[in-house]
Amino acid sequence: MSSGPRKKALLKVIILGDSGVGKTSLMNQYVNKRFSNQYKATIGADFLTKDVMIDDRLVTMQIWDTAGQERFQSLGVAFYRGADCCVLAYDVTNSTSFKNLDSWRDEFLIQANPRDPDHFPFVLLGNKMDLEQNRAVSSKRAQTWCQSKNNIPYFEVSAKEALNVESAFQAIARDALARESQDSQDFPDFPDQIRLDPNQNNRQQGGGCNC
Amino acid sequence: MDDSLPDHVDVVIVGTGLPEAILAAACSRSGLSVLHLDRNPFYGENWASFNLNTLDEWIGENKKELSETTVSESIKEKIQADESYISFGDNRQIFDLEKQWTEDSATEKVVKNKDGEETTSTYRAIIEKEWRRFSIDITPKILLSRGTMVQTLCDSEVSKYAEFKCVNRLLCFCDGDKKICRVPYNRSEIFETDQLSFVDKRRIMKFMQFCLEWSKNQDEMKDWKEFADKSFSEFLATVHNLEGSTQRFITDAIAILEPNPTTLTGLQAVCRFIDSVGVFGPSPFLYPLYGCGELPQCFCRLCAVFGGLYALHLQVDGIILKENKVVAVVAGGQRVNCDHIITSPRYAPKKFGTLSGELVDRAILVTDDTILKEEKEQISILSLASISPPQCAARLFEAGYESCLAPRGYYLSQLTGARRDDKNYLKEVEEKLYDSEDSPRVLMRLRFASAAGSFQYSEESPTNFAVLPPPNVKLDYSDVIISSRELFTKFWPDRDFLPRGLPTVE
Repeated sequence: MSSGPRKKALLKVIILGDSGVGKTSLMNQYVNKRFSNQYKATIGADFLTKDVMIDDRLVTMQIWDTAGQERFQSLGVAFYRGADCCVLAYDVTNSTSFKNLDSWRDEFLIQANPRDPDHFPFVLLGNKMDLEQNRAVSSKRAQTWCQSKNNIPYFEVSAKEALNVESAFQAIARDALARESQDSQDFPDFPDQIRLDPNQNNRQQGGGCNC
Repeated sequence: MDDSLPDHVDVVIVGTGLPEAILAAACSRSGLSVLHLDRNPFYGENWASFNLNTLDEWIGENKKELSETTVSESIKEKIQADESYISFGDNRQIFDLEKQWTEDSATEKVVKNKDGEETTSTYRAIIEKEWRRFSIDITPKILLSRGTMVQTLCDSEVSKYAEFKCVNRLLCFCDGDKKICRVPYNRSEIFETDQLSFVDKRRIMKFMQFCLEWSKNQDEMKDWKEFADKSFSEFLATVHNLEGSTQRFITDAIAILEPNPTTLTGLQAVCRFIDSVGVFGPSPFLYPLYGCGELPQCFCRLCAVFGGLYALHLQVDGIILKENKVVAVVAGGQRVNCDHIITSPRYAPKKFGTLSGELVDRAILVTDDTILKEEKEQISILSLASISPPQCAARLFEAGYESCLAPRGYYLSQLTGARRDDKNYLKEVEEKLYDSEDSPRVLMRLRFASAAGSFQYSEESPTNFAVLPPPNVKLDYSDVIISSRELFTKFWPDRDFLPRGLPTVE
């Protein structure tokens, strides 16, 4: 079992933020290029995957939705396991969603417990920038907040108009990947962990367990 | 944020232990609206896993005096004239809690700091600094590779939320209980082991062959029916010439599934064992990465993905009844009407019944080494059946860093055994295992007993109210799936229990 520098092809990204800021819409816009104007509290959103090229390297981004469990602050610790990047999202027309960012960030740091919390990659997305006339949080205010948190990258986006979404997620993938090279892995990357594949009907998997 | 609960749901589930989580997933998956509540700020109740700090919080909570519930005026306002109200229980599930840092934990150890300089620190200080790296199961169990839990995880696709490791070592006592050695899992391991003579290897292989055929057509097989209800040992000795330590290899190996077998249950256990060998590796057993506490959360996520509503850390008050049926819960100061209420044993009102009273003894040790050193770190199960009454089903589960349960170089040793005759046999076993000169250093020790058994309903219990069982002493998860499925089928006979094939989300 030689384990040189890890070549991780899969990046786990989680999106946090208040209900209604557009977490699911952002994921959907980025991965499926779709937007629905009808708001419903998240049902049926799980995680979406997308392959992206980052500097000649193909990585699979797995973006995890909160599945609505954030509504009563009931995201369990399992949700945060092995996250490579945490995307914080708020609604630029809703100042409460901006004020709650601190508690979402704290929640992440408590639950995910990264070894080096000061350098864990966060990215802030201010969604609904198309609703400029209703803006309640200025770009400057958001940027100041980001600076105070060790320079979190900040993007203003619109899931509805597909503004900046692509470039924001590119940056997210880049940040998640950069973490890997910092060698700040919180847990060993196991060559022999097993995923149960429903479609293989539990048959022996190639390379499976090394025990 | 909208923090009001809905006015009506189909099912309210209280308690987020594994059986409740499975049931919640099944309900939500089949289109029922689910509200899932817990007083704890974490998922899993006594099926959870904790780090060193959250473990202390859990201990504190379980040592608290239980307070009498009072019915406030604001609750009374929510009850109509023809309705009655009963508070949810707060029944103690954990007893005899005892945690200590051992004398050994004060021993100094040389450690290298970030810059490679050597300093000394006590074991306790080292471990406490790494508190986040622990994941300590309150209820450690394993999955049989071809058991019902793996099947359910795959069918429901809950499997995508978790990762697993093979339990790669099955251990038992040998040489008159003085030594611990490896039980061979399969053909090649049987041939390689130096614990067996050539003749005995052949006998075991012949017996395995018998079992394979037996699993296919037991009715036509000879030489076992007259032993069916007799002891398995007698059958092995008389029919297969398997005696002494050779027989022990077989009985100890299956003892973790079937501690006190008759010939029939013994053969069934051997077949379950053989059936799961080679599915994901030589070992028939899987263990969830980060501990067993992941499983309830995975099922809850599926429930949430299908629209189930989650509220942890919530005040869960009581049940409103009308004509001896539950019609609503009161939680977080709100009334939520519902058609069914299902709870874990903690929340069951005493008037509706109580648990049958069995206890499972537990010991959790943090050690500085494994009970049987090998080159690579292993995940091990050691059957303790030969050094404790078999009815206790006692065993030890040991894992560490590679399973994300402990910091590198440290192990969690998890002992489990049913309490019999009001006696904690596990304590003796633990002392026997860890008191010798060359045994691993025990640094921290936590002992407790957890409520087991089944829920005995009173006559007053409403027909649309049910209680799921607490963790039992069994090593694997089959019973958990069975009890959740039974209840689901009883309440919703026309619906499928966690069927295959999720619609893909766009």
